[in-house]
Amino acid sequence: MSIELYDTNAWIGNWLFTPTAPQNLSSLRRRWKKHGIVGGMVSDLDALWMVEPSTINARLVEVCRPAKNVIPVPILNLLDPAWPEQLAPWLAMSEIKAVRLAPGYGGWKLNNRRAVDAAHAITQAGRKVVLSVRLLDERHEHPALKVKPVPVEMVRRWIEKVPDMLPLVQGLTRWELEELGKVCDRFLTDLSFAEWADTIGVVSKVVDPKRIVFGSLSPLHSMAAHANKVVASPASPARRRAVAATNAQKWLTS
Amino acid sequence: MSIIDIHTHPVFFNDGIKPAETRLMIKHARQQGIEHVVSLGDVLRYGRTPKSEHLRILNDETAGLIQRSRGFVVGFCYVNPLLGEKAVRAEVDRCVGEKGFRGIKLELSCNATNPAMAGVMHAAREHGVPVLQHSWNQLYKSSRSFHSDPEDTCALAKEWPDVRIIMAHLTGSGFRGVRAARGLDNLVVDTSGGGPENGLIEYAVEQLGERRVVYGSDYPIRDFPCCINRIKGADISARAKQRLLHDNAAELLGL
Repeated sequence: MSIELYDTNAWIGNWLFTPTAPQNLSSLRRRWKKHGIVGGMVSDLDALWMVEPSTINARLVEVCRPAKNVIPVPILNLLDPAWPEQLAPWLAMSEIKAVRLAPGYGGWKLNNRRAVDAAHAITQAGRKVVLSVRLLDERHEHPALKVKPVPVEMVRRWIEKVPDMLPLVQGLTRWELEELGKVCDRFLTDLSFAEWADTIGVVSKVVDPKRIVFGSLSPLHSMAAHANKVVASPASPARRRAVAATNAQKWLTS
Repeated sequence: MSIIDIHTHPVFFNDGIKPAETRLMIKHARQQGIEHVVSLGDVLRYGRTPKSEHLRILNDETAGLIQRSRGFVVGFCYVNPLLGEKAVRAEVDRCVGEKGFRGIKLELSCNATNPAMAGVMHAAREHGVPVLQHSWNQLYKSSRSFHSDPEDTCALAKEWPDVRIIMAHLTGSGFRGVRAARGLDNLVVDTSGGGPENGLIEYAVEQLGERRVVYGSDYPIRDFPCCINRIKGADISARAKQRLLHDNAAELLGL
């Protein structure tokens, strides 16, 4: 059975801590094609750490513009006191459907008032908010890094303060999803850090399967491995198809 | 391609102990092409330093799995080196000598450089079985007093060149662990544990050679399809994939 996938967690750019070559849009799309991925949402690793990553984000939008089924997702760094100036031009662009927040890498915390204000502004403009809780397993990150994942309780409070928002929260573990799923049903999640025997079955017990989406975390993670987590799951074909692509596509157009 | 998974815990904090659960695990594994899984036991049920009576319970459960699965499950004997050479020897003789287990499992009782490891190494050498040592990055962590860093596991392999060592958890051992493992022909690294981080499989094969990397999942903490495709999708030769997914483990376990 062939299942089409839609990648909500794809990246281009350079990651200093692995020997893999920097990923550009062409190499990303070749990998997508090889693994049955029809398109996706793309951010740029180079924008993760910068206080004012507008140049990198603008480059991302430019490279994605001619590509079919590729949505650029700029990263907003709320460490920047003038963050509304970063955000305003993106919200004026029709191809920007979502904006990513990555607090651990940008050097700010999700309990900052700016996180609520930015989420409001993005949501009111009809765009989606993507939150990267973690991109790396902190147990064995490079010793020079001290990036901690966003605590679940902080995620819950943030979601609670933005009533109209339905964010995509990426990088939660199985245990963190259990914790958040008990107290909140207003978020989508990927499975990039959630894993157990029958991952989809286990996560579906705590998160409505309509709110689970596929994300490869490529090039940090193996696209082949994450794709097979969905495609070869013991879940029903209907559920696999929904997680693989339909849930994300519905969310983006809702 | 037939696959051997060298690192699983079919019983995990008591889950998976019922025969129906074993059958389901085997069904899922077989659907992915797995022909054998190595059961390392429910290693944390009784804490970090289990007593002899706890080890007997856990190892007897593994023996039950081997019997129920008609050989699909291969057993490793879980021991605590701190109990002393006599106790370790008695349990290894019972499990490997009498019940057909094919290796020894070490978890978090003590660091791999602890002198108490000698008893385990003597038993492994005499029975001719490999020792699988849990390993994870412990740089700048106080837990290293009992939790083995990959460099500690490599030091163990260096000290006992005639005992085969499986350094568990490629992801947690990382690039530094692979570098430490170079030149140690009696050590292989298993691919279990952690997310499917990119580049590590390729790096390990490049640095250690395709005969010194072996597939493991850490089931049920990890998902068979994800772990297997981490290797099938890696940028290594078809021959290397065959070695990682099957041949290296078959040779190591005598299957």
